[in-house]
Amino acid sequence: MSLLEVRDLSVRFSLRKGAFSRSRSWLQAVDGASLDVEAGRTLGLVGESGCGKSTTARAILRLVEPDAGTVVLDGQDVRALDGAALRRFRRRMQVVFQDPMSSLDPRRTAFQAVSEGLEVHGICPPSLRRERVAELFRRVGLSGEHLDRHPHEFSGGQRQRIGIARALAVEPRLLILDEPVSALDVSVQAQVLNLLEDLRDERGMGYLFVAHDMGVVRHFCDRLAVMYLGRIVEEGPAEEVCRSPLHPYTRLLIDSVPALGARRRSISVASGELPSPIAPPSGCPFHPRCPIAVGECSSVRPELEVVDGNRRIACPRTGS
Amino acid sequence: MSALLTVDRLGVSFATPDGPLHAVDGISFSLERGAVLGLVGESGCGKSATASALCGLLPPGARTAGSARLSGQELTSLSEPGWRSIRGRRISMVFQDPMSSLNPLLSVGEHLVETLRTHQDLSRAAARTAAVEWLRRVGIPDPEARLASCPHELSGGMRQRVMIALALCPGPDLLVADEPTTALDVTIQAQILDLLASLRRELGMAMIFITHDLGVVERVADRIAVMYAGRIAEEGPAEMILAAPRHPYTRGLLDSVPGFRPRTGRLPSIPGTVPSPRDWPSGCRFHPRCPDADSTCRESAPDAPGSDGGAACFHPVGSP
Repeated sequence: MSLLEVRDLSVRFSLRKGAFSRSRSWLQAVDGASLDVEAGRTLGLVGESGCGKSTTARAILRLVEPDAGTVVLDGQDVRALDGAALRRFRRRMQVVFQDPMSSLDPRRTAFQAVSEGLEVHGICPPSLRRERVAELFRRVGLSGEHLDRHPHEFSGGQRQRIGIARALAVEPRLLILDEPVSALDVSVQAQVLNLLEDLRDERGMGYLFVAHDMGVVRHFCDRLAVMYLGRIVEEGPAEEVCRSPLHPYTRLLIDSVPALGARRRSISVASGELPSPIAPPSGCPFHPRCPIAVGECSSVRPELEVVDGNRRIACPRTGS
Repeated sequence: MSALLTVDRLGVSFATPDGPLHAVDGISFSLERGAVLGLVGESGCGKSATASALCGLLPPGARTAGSARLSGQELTSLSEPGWRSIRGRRISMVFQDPMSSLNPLLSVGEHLVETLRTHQDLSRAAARTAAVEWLRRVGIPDPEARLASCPHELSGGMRQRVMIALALCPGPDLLVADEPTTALDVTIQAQILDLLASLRRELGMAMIFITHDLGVVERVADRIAVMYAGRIAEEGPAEMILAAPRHPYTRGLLDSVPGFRPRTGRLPSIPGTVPSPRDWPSGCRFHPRCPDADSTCRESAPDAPGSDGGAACFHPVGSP
């Protein structure tokens, strides 16, 4: 059994036409997504803005409420929990966001930010908290003198280390990383990725890594799930998916990356833009942009099918 | 043949309550007609301040030193009325966020007609026809209908296409593009890069392309200048810089880009963080992070790259 099992997860947001209007439309942000995260492994969730990757992460954490589907972490049905039980359970799943500046309270010191979780979950007695936080700081590459500083006194990379220390403080089983290095300079990004990798191997946590940078996910993840308009269209081992993508959307995504060493390779860019998620295309959501679409692609919704034993794609036109 | 743009020991400093802040500290390079220079660096290296200086868009209180000449005409001493005859017609620019450069109350058509009529003696009807033609050239579908659209009704990619049309319609000799695709999704980024490349060839225009993304710069640039802490660390032909970097900073930066090489263990990273202009180190500004630094590097600053390019380094990569 996997550490995290998500089955047929759906999230939709209601959009009112106007402040006093009764008519509503729906935005289906996540549409029947299923995924697994193993302990000690990283699943990358990739796609372009608006594809539903961050909403999927938030629905797993129950920061937004899913409409349908199940989320099981460590054998516990997360959707069945509420109130105090959910708060207690949150210890097992933590999150690190892209911009630590907006997730850290500017008036509280780094020590206060990190020790809050220890306090809420009663993890260590107050007299030992400072020592415990100092130890965490050393582990993420900060020093004891950083404890009493405020967020604005840190660089972007250091703030992200505080965000990681805060998540680790409560010893989670699952860490959700939502674009954790996207705001960092390249030279600092590599340091933070290496730190995250060491921590995962040390503690056996499972990672769900939400990102848009294909280079980062290829390096960092064991498996990849590619999302398009709320659906997972391809899933498989990260290296294989990047080297030989099967779904036409994955191929477009990978060909679009200005890869170092592939100078001026010509790519087909006559591919249009992401359609509105409020009125998604019928059938396969990718068919209006797809170079190999046929008539039935606009009417039949493809399901994820296993190919090559180890990979899954939602496209009847390739792979099978 | 003399260069289109000659930048000689250009400096930019900003007035702050704590005294002047030097963002750019004596950089020199030249750009031939129709050529593309990629200006690469991490946050705070001075690449955007350089762009602002070359477009006459520095904030009040900023000072320049040295010189920047466009076809022999000195730019650094120009007054605002002087800049008005240069901007658009001779030097044009595209920025990262088109929403902040477009007037939210004006339609796409009004933006284009106004710009066209400022620079050319055109009737309203003729300007409108030219506007439709420009929208078609930048790949906007159904251009006649789009004239009436306001900026907020367009996607990020479409807005950037409108910005490109606005920048290019006066027929500039030089386009300064400051992170023009950074805010876009990767499939849209690929479309915009291709569009810029083909229009630039068609119009025979030179371009300074500013980015932090080495993959992007590889796709667009003939020559690359790598900036670090207000200075140019290395300059030369794009293929040479990327295939055989001479400056340890360039090499470190290239090594720390994840992906696109099959995974081989840990990601090499550059220790430490990018220094802020408030506390630039002595000597070679990269020395605290450099694996090869010695006492010379700490005490004296290496010579800037000459007119044929090279690395500003006492111990370039590959030297004995």
